[in-house]
Amino acid sequence: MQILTFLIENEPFALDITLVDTIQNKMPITPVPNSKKYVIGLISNRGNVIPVINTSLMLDADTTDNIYEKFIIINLGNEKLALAVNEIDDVLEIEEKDIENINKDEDFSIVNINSNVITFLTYKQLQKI
Amino acid sequence: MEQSISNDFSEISSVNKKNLDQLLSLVEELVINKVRIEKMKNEVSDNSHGKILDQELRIISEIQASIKKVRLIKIKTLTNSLEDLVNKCNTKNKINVNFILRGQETEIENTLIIYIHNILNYLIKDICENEFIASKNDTNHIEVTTYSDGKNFTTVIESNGKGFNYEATCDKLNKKSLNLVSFDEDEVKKFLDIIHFTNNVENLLKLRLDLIYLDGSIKFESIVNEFRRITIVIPITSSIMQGLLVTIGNQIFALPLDFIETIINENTVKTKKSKNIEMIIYMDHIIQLVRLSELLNIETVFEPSCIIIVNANNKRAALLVDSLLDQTDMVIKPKHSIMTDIREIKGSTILGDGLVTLVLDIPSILKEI
Repeated sequence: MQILTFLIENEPFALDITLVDTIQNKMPITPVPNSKKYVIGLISNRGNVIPVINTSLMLDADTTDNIYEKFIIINLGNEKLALAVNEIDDVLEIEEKDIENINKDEDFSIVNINSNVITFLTYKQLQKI
Repeated sequence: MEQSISNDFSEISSVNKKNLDQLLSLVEELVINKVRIEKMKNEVSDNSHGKILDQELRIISEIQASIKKVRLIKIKTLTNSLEDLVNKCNTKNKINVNFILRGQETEIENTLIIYIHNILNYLIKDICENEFIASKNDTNHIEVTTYSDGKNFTTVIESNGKGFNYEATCDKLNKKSLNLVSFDEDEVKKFLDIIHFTNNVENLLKLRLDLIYLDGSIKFESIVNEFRRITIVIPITSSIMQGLLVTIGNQIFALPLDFIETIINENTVKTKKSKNIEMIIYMDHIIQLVRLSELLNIETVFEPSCIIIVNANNKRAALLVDSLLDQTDMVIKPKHSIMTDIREIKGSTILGDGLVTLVLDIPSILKEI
């Protein structure tokens, strides 16, 4: 399978490339009052209104007011979500067995690529948003 | 005879639904751009450019009009599913129900048909399971009639059985007619309790909320031991609405124009405070003042200057906003599932500049205060 790797605050993350709809450059975000903390706001993409997720907050990672450069728009069921990331890294070919689930309860997975540990966002994890 | 059959066939061509949906979303995109093109047209001084843009705008309008017709589906498509449901109820509850669906040629919009199907589904189920089992008649019937006059889509669900005393129920609730849309939530619950229609309270409440928005109605009628009739009227609105753009803090919001009664300057009215509730007196009415910036937790930059008096469901409120911007056509997009618990917001719309603007849910705000 192919995965897309990207950076959030210099931390590497990855997700299944078949989930990815488009990658979009930074654009103005409309904040949503009274929304969940990890929802940064809304953007428009090809006539759709898509919520932007602060991915690092969602994963309980430490976060500062980081500057997002790119949005990864993913398809989740019938809806779309945009993940705010700092940088798109690469597209890699991996074997499915390379994905290790290290915490079954929280469905937390990693991929080991040349002794680089990358957090792998599973469909299940993304669906929980 | 043969001739007409072959003609019918030649008029229909099958399209993959996915392709169609894609086409529809592209048209929506085009419509959103239309606002942008209009803005550009006003800025362009060169006449020849203006002419081309005018032509483009006309073409977009025409595409928009013809794509609306593509979306229509005939009620006929529901027949099988509803008959199935009645048959299942028959065997499960050992009753005998005749089901008739009239107006099968009525055409309604693609998205509305799923909606109607759900409503009919739970209403028919409820009538079968409550009314018919209790009444123990040998023959029961449910008759669903649908028709559309271009402005409203009407569904009438009529069944025999015990029914209820219409006048007595009206008196009990102190109402002239039994239209759920004109009731408040408690009244709906009370009413459904009186007529023993308690299986679908939640569904009917949701339908009522939707219809408040669309200005439709749900009417109940009955004669004891003769019939019970539910008439649901859903106005066929285009998804394009008129909205008023206002600023709160440094953010822009849109308010559907239909709910706005008047707009007044903040300086011209006196505000009064009692028990931390601010009120204004406007034309002999005392109206509660709502600071939208506080409701939405937005920091204000300027002193609010405008009061918008809104009205929904016979309840009024005076909304305080920083300033008014513009009036515009908007296509309201539904809320993403991630935002379902934000009650103050109905949805969002994309304005000419490509920015997403949130649309406030006035009935819901009025309900909360």
